[in-house]
Amino acid sequence: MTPEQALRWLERQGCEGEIYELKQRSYGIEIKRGEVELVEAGEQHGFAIRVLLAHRMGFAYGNELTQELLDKALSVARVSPQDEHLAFAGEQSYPSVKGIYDSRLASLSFDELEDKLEAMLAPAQSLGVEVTQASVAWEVSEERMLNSLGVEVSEEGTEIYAHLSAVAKRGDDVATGMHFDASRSFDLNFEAVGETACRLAKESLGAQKLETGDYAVVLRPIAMAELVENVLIPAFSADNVQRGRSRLAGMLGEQVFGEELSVVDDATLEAGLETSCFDGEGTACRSKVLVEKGVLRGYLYDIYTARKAGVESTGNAFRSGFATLPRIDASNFIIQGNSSLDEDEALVVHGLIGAHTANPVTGDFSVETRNAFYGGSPVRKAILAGNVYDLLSSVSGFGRDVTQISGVVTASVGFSNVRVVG
Amino acid sequence: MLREVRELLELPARFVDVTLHDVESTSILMKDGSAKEIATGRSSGISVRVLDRGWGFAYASSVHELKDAAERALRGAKLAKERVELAEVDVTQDKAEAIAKLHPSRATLEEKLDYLSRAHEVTKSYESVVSTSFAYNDASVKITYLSSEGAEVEMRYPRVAFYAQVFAKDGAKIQFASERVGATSGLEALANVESVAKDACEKALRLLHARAPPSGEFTVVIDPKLTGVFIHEALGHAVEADHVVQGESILAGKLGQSIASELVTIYDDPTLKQGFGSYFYDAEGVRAQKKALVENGVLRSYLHSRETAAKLGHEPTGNARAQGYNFPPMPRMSNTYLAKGDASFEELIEDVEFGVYLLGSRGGEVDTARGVFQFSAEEGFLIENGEITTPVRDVALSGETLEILRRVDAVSKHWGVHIGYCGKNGQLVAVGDGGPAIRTVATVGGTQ
Repeated sequence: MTPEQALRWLERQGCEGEIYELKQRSYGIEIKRGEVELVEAGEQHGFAIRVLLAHRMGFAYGNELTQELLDKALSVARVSPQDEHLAFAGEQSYPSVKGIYDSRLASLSFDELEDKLEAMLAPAQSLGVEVTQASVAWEVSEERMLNSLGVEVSEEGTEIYAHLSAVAKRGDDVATGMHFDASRSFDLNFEAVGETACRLAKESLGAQKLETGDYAVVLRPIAMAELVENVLIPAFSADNVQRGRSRLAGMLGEQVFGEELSVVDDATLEAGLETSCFDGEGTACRSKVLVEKGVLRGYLYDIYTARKAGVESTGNAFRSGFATLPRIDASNFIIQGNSSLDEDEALVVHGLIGAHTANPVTGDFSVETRNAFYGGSPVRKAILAGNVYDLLSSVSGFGRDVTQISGVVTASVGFSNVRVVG
Repeated sequence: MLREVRELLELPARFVDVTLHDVESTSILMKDGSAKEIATGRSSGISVRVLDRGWGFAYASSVHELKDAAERALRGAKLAKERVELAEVDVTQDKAEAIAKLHPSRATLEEKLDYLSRAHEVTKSYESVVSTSFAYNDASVKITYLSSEGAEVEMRYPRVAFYAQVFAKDGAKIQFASERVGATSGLEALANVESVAKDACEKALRLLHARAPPSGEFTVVIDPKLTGVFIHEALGHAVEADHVVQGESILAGKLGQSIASELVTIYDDPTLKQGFGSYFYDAEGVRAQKKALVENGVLRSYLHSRETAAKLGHEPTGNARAQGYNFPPMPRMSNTYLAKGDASFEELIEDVEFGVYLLGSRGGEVDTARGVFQFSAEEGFLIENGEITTPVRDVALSGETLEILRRVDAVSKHWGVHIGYCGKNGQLVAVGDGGPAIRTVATVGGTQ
């Protein structure tokens, strides 16, 4: 049946309905030891149904929109608890967002990538390191949502991703380097991905131990993004705030970070990796200030938590595919600051190992570093230990290298006094 | 359907295989006593691999797209340049189904909800527990594998899991703890959700009164759960043969050599009964087998797909796995564990002057090429003069795989395997990690 027919049937059963449809084409190339080993092309199509029956929510997903799927969603609703805060989005207007669809990517052929792959692999030879693996993947997706309250919206998007891992060897000494980048259009800089990974591997040879102590630390965008995604973003979720699971609960208007730091969540950012005009519930996306000069200004809401708090949804309920319910998450989480960065006498860290093991509730972390340099010389092993809230209160500077790493937009950020275990 | 697939296997290529996936699942998330998110659904799809010089891989979520997918795979295979060979394996026709006393497809939603309600009930007696999340997940997986060599295998796996996460508060202090249980079986594996919930509550309460750990190099005693994660991260990933072939494993070229203390014997066993990472045949139709990865400190085997086995001239081990139809298979772990020793727990700690006892896991990560890993314990205690003393929290360990394996100097006789999901190149698969409590030396990262 069509989504419109399904909605009409649900309405005849006395409930409100919502239908989400996802169509995706995915392509990929895997390179092992410098040669293309696997070429991939896939298609996925699926539907997710939510129903509201007397304030009870039901959800079901499947590859096809069938009567069975509707029945399933209704049977889930019947055993679900009643909650007056559950609701669907009403009819509304959506912002126009730019730079999320590139027709070149939508019709990209494998041949057109050949030059790009060569450019990405070339730096390995000139730098004398080996490419262990590399990959390029791109995707064309189309999302559509409609519900009983008049929401009817759709969007097409494209994205391309490239990654390269390299290893440098000198005698018994082994060093690794990894870099990746993603873009909504075909203008991705493949050469820079290869160059950065290979250079990191080469420059990390001859690493020495570092004495345990307190150091000035600079986190490069990848390291910063890993920490922010795992430890900081969950604290802004209204679900965590309302359930007493966030350090930021009850602190609106208070100074929570250093004055140098501001945070904006902007789902409408031009060409942003998480840019979209509507969220997973059909709410219009927008930009909102979360932290202004260190002062907490807002949280991220979906419809349910917003109604509970008596505010509007911020349009932050996102879906990851058609088989899961929408969940609160950041869109493009932008970290801003303008003081300048001093990298002399600092431990400069490119990436982290184990950032997902940090404590998202207290903000405590203890993570190993990947490609760390002190005074320009590589460091063999260094654990960074501390608390992300203390860390963000001791910001000493921002670099000019602003870039987007999955959902996080940030430059290199400098911190004074971080515990480093060598 | 199978007839159409068999026709496809005749494509003009060196090798073709087709996998049909069909997964029916239910997940329930109970937040603070209310079943907020219940999702049911079914997703199916088909993948086709074609080997010309290299691999072409294609998939579709609709079986009607089968022919299209096959053509895409064939075109892809012609573009790949790296010459791939496949190790010879027994060609099997078989049907196998994992045993479930109470199959998830026969239980009602109410019965499934009841596990969460029972768990939540337990937490009510803990005043400091301020917020709870309990999750129930089940999946009924059917995989059909066919190859141009004549393999035809149909496998059915029921899989269930229960997760508890509780938050405890004392004044401004807040801490959380998690526990989980699950199996490749029916709902009978979840019989003791109450005690799992209770363990989580008590752990969260202990963490409220724990202090930050010391930092530096110490003697560490790690419990079976953390031993499992340590073996998984530090050794398991480095023996995945794709890492070895790509020149990014610290264990490349070390087969037959001593890489660990003589007390260390490690197995990968997909035949473990009800194991979360168990299977009958791998994603290339190769029969699952238990194998020693390390035997009394000597490296014995890598984990192979047919491709990596051919590349290194080894016997295939049946370790190719894929998350679903939309992912190509690669070498993965199944249930990986350290074999038990003969020490009692007291013997592990009695002669430790100063050290840290670490329990539970919050996950880990490894750089296989350098052999550097990091993993995080859920909780810990100081060991002072042979006694367990002050509780500590947020303890992370890091070290170099070979060094820490060499310094294992005691292995206990208490043993267990725990459930987990392992991520690699964007694919998640269910695994079991396990072992006994062990003693070694590692760097503890703390703020003190």
